[in-house]
Amino acid sequence: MSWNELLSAALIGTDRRPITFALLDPLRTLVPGEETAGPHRVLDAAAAMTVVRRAGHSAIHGVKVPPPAPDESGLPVPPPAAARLRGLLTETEHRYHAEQQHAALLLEWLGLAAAYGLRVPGYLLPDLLEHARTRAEVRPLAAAVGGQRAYWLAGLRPEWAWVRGESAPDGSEESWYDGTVAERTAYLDALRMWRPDRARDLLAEAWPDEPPAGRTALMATLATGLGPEDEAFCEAALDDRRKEVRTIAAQLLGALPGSAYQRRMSARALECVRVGHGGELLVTPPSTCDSAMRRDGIEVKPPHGTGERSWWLAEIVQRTPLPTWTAALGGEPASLLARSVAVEWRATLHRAWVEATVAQRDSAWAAAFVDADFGRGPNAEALDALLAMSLYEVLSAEDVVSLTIAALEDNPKHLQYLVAACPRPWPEPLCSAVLEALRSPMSRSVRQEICAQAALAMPPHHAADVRRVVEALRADEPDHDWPYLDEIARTLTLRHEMHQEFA
Amino acid sequence: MEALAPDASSLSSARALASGVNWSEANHARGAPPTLWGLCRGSGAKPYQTCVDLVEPAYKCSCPSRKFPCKHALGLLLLWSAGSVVETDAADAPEWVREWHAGRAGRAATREARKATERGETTPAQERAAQRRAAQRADRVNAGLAELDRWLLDQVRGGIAGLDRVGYRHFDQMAARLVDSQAPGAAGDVRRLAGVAASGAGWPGRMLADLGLLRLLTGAYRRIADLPEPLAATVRGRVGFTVPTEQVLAAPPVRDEWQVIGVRDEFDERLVTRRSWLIGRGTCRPALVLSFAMPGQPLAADLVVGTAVDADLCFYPGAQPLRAVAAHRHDAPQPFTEPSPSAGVEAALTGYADAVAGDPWLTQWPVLVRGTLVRGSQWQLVDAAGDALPLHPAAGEPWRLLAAGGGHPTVLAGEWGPAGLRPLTCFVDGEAVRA
Repeated sequence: MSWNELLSAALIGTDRRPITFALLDPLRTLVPGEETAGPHRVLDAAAAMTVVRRAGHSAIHGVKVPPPAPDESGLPVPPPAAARLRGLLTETEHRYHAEQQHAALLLEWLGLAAAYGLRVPGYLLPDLLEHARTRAEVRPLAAAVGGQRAYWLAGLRPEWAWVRGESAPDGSEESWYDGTVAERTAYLDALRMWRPDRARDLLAEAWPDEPPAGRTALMATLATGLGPEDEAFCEAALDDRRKEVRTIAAQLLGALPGSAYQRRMSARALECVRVGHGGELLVTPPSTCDSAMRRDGIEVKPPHGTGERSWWLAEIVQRTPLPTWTAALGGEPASLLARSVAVEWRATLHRAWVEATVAQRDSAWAAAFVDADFGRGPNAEALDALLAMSLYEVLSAEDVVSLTIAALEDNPKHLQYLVAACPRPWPEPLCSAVLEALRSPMSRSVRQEICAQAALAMPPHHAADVRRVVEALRADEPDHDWPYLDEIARTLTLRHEMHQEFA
Repeated sequence: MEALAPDASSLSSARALASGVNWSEANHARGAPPTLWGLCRGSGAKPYQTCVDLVEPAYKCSCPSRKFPCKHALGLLLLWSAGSVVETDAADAPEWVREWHAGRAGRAATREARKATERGETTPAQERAAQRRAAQRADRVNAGLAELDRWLLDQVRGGIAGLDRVGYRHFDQMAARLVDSQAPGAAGDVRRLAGVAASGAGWPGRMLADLGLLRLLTGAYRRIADLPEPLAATVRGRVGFTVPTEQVLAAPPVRDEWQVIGVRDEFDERLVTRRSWLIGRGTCRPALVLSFAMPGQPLAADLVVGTAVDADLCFYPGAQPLRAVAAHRHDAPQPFTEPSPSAGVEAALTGYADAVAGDPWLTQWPVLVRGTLVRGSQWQLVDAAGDALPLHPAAGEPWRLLAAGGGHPTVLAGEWGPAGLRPLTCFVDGEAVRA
C-alpha cells in the first residue's frame, strides 16, 4: 500500500473505492484488521504513514553552494551607528514633518558613513537597498556604503542591479525599428547623449510615417543634447498637426541660444516694452495675436478672468531671453525692476519676468527679484508660493544665504521657502540670524517650517546654543511654551549623537 | 533592547530621551537584584522617577503613560547600554527605589502564601465538587471526540476531493462542537483544516495527513487509561486539557544556561502567541516558552534573542517535553556570540525523528544548523556536507539572513516541520540577526 493509493481512496471516498491491503503489506502489522478496508483503516494507515514519513524525512543531497560574497576591505560602521541605522530603516513615521525629517536623517547618516569610508553591516543591506530602490537621491550613497556585500547581493536580485551601476539594457537599433513607443523613446534618449546628430537623423527619417501618438514623446527626446543643428527640425515641427508637438518644438527653440525663434520673440517683446523719456517703462501690449505668434506657440485664448492683451504680453515676455532686456533697455536686472511701470501692466510684466527667470535659471535676475523685496512690496501678488519656491531655487549659493540673512530681519512673505533654499549645512552667520529671528514674533506656520528646516540644516554642535535660547526665552516669559525650539534642540542633539557614534 | 519596546513609537521616543541632557540622575547598581534608576525631566516640575529591575526585567515609573514599559524606562535602558549611567552601590539607592523593591518582594511573598493556603485548605466538600467537575468534563470530552471520530470517517467515506470547496463553515461547525465539549485543542486542529483545504497545490495529501493524525488522537484518547503516563499527558495536552502552572512548577526544575535562539509571533484574530525557542547550553535540551496577549497589547519580552539566562525551567509533562516555564532566574540575561550545540542537516533531522517518536503530533521543532542559505525558486539551507533542508513556503525570502551571512556558513536557528524550515535567527559576528 503506497501513500498515493491511500490518497486516491481518500479522495474518491471508500464508499466508492474500497481498498485492499496486500497480505504482506507492512502496514498490516501497524494497522491490524480485515483485508478489505473501510474509512477507519484508511485514516489509521494515513496516520501511521504520515508519522513514518515525517520521522524519516531525508535531506536533499548534493546541493551546491554558489560562490559567497568576497571579503570586505573596508571597516564596518561602529555598532552604535549600525543600531542607529537599523532604527532609521525599520521605524516608520506617518506624520508629514516627522517623515521628512526621518528621510533627511537617513540621508545624513549615509553621508557620514560614506565620508568616513565605512560600510554598512550585511544584515542591514536588504532594508537599505529596498529603501533606496525607489529614491534616486539615496541610491549613490547606499551603493557607496554597501561594500562588496551590496555588490554581491545586487547580482542575486535584479531590483538591486543599480548598485552595480547597471540600468535597464538600452537596447539596440533594432528596438528603434521594432520597439514600442516607450522602448523607442528610451533608445533615442540614450542615443542623444553621445550621438545627438545620429539620433535626430533617425527621428527625421521616421518622422513622416510616425503616428501622431508617438510623435510627442519622440520629439521631447531632443531636449537631451540640444544644439544649433536641431533648429531646422524643430522649426519645421512648429507646423506639426499635433498641438503637443508644436508646444515642445516651441519650448526647445526658446531654449536654443541664438535661434531665429528667440530673435522673433525678442523683437515682439521690444515692441511691447520701451523706455520712456523719464526713464519709465512704457508698455504697449499687442492688440492682436497674429498667425506668426500662434505658430510660435502663443496661446490665443487667455484663461478665464485674464484680459487678452495682458495675456499675450505675458506669453511673449515669458518666452523672451532675459539678456534681451538688459541689452536693449540698458542696465542691470535690478535697475530694470526699479523703473516705474504703468500700474495696470506692472504685475503682469514682473510676473512674466519671474517665470522667464525660473525657466531660464538666471541667478542674477533671481537675486534682483529677491533683493527688490519682491515677496512683500507692491509686487507681492505676482509671486505665489509655488513660483517663489522655484525662484529661490535659481539663486546662487552665496546669494541665497546673504539674501536670507537680510530677509530674516523683516520677515517677508514666503520667508520659509527662502530659508528652505539655503544650502546645507548652514553657515554660521545664517545659524545665528535664524536663532535671533526665532525670538521675534512670527506666524505659527512659518515658525514651524523654519524650525523644521533649522533642526536638519544647522551643524549639530548648535544644540547647546539652541538650548540657551530656549532657557533665555523661558526666563523672560515663564508661562509661554516654546515647543518648536525644544524640537530643534532635540533634533540637533539627536544628530549630534548620530555624528558622535561614528567617532 | 529594541525587543522590549511595546511599539515602534515608544522606541523612537525612548531614543530621543536616551541622552544625558534629559536625565538629572541615572544610576546602575549591581546588588541583588541589579537595578537601574534615574530622574527624567518631563513636562511637569517634578522629574519622573524611573526604575528598572534587570533580572525579570520589571519596570516602575512615576509617569502617567499607559504603555509598558514606558519610554522613560526604555530610555534609561538605552542610556545604560550606551554606558552613560553612573555605577553606584546598591546601599546608596534612594528611598523610592528601595521601597519599590520591598513592595515587590512583599507582593511576591503574599502570592506565594495565598497559593500555599489554596493548596492546603481544600475541604472534603470542595474536593468532591472538583472530582465531580472533572468527571463531567471527561464525559463531555469523550462524547465530543467520539463525534469527531464519526465526522473524520464520514469525510473519508464520502471522499475528501470536495473539501476545498465546502468553505470554512464545514470545519467551523465541527470545531464549535468540540469547543462545547471542552476539547479546545482538538477544536483548533479541526478549525485549521479549513486553511489546509485552501492551501493550494498538494492540499489533499496534507489534508489526509491531518485527518489521519486527528484519528490517531481520538483513538489514543479512547485508550488513554492504557497509555504510559507521559504519553497520556501528551494526548491530554493535544485534546486541550490545561495543566495548572502550580503543577508544572512542582516538576523537578532543569537548571541550565538557556540560550534564546529564536522568537516568532503567531497572530490569531483573538490572540497573539509569542513562541520563544530556547536551547540549554549544558543539557542540549530544547524548550518552548509561550506567552500570550490580546492583539495590540504588548507581549512578554523577557526572553531576548541572542541572550542566555541562567535559570530553572520546569517542563510541561509529556512524552516529548518541550513547552516550559521559567521557575527561577539566577542572574540577569547575558548576550552570547553563537549558540551551541549546532549540528548538520542529518543530525537535525535525526533529532526531529526522535522527537516525533515521542510525540507523533509534533509539527514544530527547533533546529540549530550550521549552514548556508541558498536562493532559488525554493530556498534551501545547505550544510557543509551538501545536505539541504527546504525552507517553509510561508517563510518568504529571508534576504536579511542571506545578506548577513553573505553566502558563508553561519549558525541558523529555525523551526522545522513537515512543510519545511522556517528560519528565525542567524548568528553572525556576535550579532543575532532576526529574519
